[in-house]
Amino acid sequence: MKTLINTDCQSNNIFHQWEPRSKLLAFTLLLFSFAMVKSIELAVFMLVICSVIFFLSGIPFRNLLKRWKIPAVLVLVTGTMLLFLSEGHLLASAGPFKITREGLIGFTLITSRVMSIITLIVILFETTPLLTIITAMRNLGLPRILADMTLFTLRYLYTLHWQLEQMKTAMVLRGFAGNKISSWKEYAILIGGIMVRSFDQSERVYRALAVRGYGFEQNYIPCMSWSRKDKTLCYSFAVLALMISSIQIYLNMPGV
Amino acid sequence: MSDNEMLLRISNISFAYKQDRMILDNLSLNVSRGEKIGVLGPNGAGKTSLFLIIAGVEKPSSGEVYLNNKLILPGSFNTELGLVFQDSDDQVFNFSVFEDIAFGPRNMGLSEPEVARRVNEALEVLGIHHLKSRPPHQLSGGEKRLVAIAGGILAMQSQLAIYDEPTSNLDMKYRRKLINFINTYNQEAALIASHDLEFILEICSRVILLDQGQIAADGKPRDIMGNGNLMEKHSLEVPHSLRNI
Amino acid sequence: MHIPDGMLSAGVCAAGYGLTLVAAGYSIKKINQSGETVRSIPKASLLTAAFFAASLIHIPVPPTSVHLILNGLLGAILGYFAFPAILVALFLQAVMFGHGGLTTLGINAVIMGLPAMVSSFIYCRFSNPQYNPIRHSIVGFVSGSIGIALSVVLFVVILINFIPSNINADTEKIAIYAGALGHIPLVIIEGIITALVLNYLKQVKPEILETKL
Repeated sequence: MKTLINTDCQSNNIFHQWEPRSKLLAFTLLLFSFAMVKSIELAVFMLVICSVIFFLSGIPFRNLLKRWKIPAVLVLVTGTMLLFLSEGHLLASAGPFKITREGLIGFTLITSRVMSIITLIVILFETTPLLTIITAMRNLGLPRILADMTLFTLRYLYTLHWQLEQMKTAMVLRGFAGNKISSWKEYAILIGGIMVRSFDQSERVYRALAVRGYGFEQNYIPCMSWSRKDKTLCYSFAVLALMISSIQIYLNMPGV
Repeated sequence: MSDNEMLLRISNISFAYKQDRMILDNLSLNVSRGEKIGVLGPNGAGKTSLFLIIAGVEKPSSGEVYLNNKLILPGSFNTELGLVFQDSDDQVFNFSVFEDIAFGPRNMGLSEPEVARRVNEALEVLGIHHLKSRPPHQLSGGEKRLVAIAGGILAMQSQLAIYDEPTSNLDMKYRRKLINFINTYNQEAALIASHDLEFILEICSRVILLDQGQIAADGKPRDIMGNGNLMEKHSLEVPHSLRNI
Repeated sequence: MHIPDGMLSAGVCAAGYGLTLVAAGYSIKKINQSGETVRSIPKASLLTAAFFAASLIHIPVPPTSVHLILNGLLGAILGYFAFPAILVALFLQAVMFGHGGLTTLGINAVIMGLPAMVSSFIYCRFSNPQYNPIRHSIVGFVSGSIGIALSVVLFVVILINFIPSNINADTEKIAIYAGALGHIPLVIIEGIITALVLNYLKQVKPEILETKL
């Protein structure tokens, strides 16, 4: 199973060295302020901030491109609809297609927001191991049920996906083509089969966990203190987020 | 046998999952410090259930288990014993090897430096320090088994080590590594269930033969495993190396 | 049917997180009331992983194929764990595969998770402990198709109302409704597959359906 998870997050870069809880907080604030952007001037500012942070992170551009590609079709379809179907001041027209100022702004806004937000997410996840992020979320108040479920689901997804592939291969080797509507029943059995396996395995996993004291946790919270550098980075991100959101709120006001 | 020498005392244990069939039937067993006991028996003989009861995970329908003269209460966390499960995928649950091995020690309430020290020591003993930051799904079957042993037994510094089919799915290299480890590691006592009879022969000082929830034989490995009639009666075979004795 | 980051305004994202907080909070409260939380967590998690793996399979619908959402089936099987399971699965999907998003995680969880809770209610309320294949199939079909159908409706409502745009309202509505109608075959397929899977489980491993998670 090919995923975008980066398992090698070792580097001396400031983003790699940043304490995970303050990093998560800072990125969350900036992400939401980016989601607020509705004016073209702020969008330009957002793109500049994003480029600077990305440049500082030292992440290869191809990693970013990989993530950008995923929602590209949906974003381009929506963006193109905005571009050609919006009403407003006519800028150009060719046959049935007309481009308005509002359409152009709508297109630019949506694509720049999507690209900037994804860039931030890439920086966060390329510089922090997923497990560290889950632990940081737990320390920031994520309920234990959700943190544990995330961890177990992540771990056993690989095992169960592999088992499902094995079951399917075994069916194919016995002549299962699986390309007709009549094969839905077999697909249902395959899905049911993986449910049964996961259910049985979960009981064994629980026993193995119980032997090592699952449910007797001492509420382990790693005490990583925030260094001056962590604080400076976190506050800078917070100030940027505050700036973007307050400017946008000001611009939203009637009469501005 | 004095109480000091005795590590585990199982008295008159019975167990059934549902009412229909007894898995363990009034079973008693004493284990002394220093013993490595092989547990033989056909599939469904009750080996895994016995281990889960000793570990306090399953509740026996009657009988008691004492470890270090302390009654094992079902549902309790017993830090004196470690259990290595048949399928390492069931056991190695965390998303990094380090975190997985640290799970037991953290639940024991140890300080974080002590947890790290134990994890590193366990990794060193088994020679798997290079796997420290790897996610378990990327490990081979043999590597996963060693991680399970590191987390289940070494890092918890268990006095009683229980292994359920430790050589299943292992290649020769890891099987040999495991034999060397169990032979040299200084645990107080070990219980080892295995169908790999040559493995039992190399490691164990005593063997019990479990069938239909009862101990059918208890003695020296060569005496029991070399007894063709006894082995056959319980759906087992004399190991190859003992056939011409 | 996952909304990517950047498509919705911050207000809608925040509202999505708000609703998610309420739904997840309610589910967690109910789970904790069961007294079996610790034992249920591995069970719910491995089933979530199995659902995740199963949703990657492509089911043939000649001349093409679709991959299933299975939120109705998930609701029927996981009960109170359904909403947390969907939240976790969507988070992992965003992080591991880049589908959906993190600012839109709340709203996506609402789109997929609230219908799963409805399916859960329908299956628990109407499936009989006494196995009757026809009744069980009908209840299974309804749970499966309602799950996905409600998700499509929520998705459409959110798109129509909250995508910031100056598009001619009629054009926009036509496009979105056409997209929604295109999902009708998926609603039927999800219903059928859900009924088939639930019948299989009822015969092979009824404990999965009986376990109060």
